[in-house]
Amino acid sequence: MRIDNISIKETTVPSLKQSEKPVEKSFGDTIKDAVSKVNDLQSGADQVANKLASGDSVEIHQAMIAMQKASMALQFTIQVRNKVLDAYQEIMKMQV
Amino acid sequence: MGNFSSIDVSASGLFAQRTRLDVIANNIANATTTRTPNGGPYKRQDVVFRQRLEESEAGGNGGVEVEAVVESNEPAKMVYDPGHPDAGPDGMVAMPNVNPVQEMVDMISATRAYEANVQAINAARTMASKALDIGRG
Repeated sequence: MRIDNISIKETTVPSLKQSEKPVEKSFGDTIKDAVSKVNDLQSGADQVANKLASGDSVEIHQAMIAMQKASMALQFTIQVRNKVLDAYQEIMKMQV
Repeated sequence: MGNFSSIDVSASGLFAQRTRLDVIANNIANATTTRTPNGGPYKRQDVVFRQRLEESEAGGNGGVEVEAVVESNEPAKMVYDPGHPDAGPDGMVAMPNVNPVQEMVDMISATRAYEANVQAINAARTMASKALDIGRG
């Protein structure tokens, strides 16, 4: 019995080279954007709380909601950081 | 962020109910006011709400906003009080058409509606924090 070499036609394999993606944001940029959004929410909450304390016409619920939003965004950022650190630790634990 | 759109909707409800309570408080405060800039006794005010259309990318219903504060057309209460400075020649005084009992009921309604909106915000917050629990532990 004769066994032929396995010949792979180029068309059957999805070529990896062709998948040149358009310029994407790097991971660092994504993180930077996310952190700056969180920072915006934090400073917004700070402003509203200041306005409330100084007697401007700000509703209490506005301040509370702004603070809650900032808190939620910060929690999300912390979770992302935890995941990234976990991945890093896993890589560093690799036996060389 | 999608999570925050429901909170914004509920915040508009909170604001609307606050406005409603302001109007009710004004009615109660002016329950015996017989002089106004337009002349005649104070007229009971009521707040009209309108559905707010969402202009952002989130789509869907965008909460509520105050359309107008309108005056009631009910006739003034005529009270016999000849000693009152604003009494007519027949001794009748036109008092505001504010019914304190109705204002109290409206106040309860506004308070409960406000609480409902707060509950909705807390539900959205709980959902978001539960979503953060995905994959934890």
